[in-house]
Amino acid sequence: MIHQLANPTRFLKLARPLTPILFYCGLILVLGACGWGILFSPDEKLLGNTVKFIYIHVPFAWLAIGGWTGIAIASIAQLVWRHPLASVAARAIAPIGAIFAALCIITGSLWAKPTWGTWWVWDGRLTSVLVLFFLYLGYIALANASSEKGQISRVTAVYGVIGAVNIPIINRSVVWWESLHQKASITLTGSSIDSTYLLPLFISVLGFTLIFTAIVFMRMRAALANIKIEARMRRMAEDTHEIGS
Amino acid sequence: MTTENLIFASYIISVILVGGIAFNSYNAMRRAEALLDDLRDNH
Repeated sequence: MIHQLANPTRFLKLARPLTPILFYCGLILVLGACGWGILFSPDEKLLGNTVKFIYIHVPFAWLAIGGWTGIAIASIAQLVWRHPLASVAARAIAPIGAIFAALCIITGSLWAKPTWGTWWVWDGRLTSVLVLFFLYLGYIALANASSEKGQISRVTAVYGVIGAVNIPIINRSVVWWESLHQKASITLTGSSIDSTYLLPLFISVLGFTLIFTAIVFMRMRAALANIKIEARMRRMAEDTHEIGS
Repeated sequence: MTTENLIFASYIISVILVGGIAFNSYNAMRRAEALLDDLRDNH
């Protein structure tokens, strides 16, 4: 199925109707979840009203990590199978992932002040997420410097794969090192978060994921259109040159 | 700064940044696809 979708024409046929659907569904879910969380969920026993940060901080963290996972998968697809869409997808994900990583750090810092009494500590979790943000900036710079016809070079793809080393480090950082950050609340075996907060959190994560995907589709559509424009302009210039000579 | 202010600030910053990149991406997509359609129609 992935091989079939790697065809740009097939992808565009699917992405055109899906982009607005994903975006507006995501927007409705996020507004509903955040509204529910802010207005109706009670203060938590230990965290008090700071629990309201959870509905944005967790989705941003999840998508910052998910974004780089997407870049790594697309980079592998580019390096191994040379899928024409893979590099376009990886390049489209990078700026959105960077924004979400920045938001994860900003909202985390604003949450840290009332709960930990400080805006920032150089512990494993916070530092590894900051490294992720810088990895995104490096990826964007490298992709812009080495782009060919809207696609990215093999060096950028290799960087995308190597950068994925940071993902398990972020995940295990609270286990490996002493941290003010809490341990994982949601694992494969269950959740320590009360259902009062868990349901709006889940809806918020789903909503932000749909918005993230819709924005990736928008950027991929723009990149594919720019590739076609460039090819068409080149053909026109060649035709003009031939007529002239 | 009260906790309420910090929560409010974090939501406002999130709306501005996510809205900003969504708006920017939508405009880039619309402009590129319109230009491509224009090229197809005229040449």
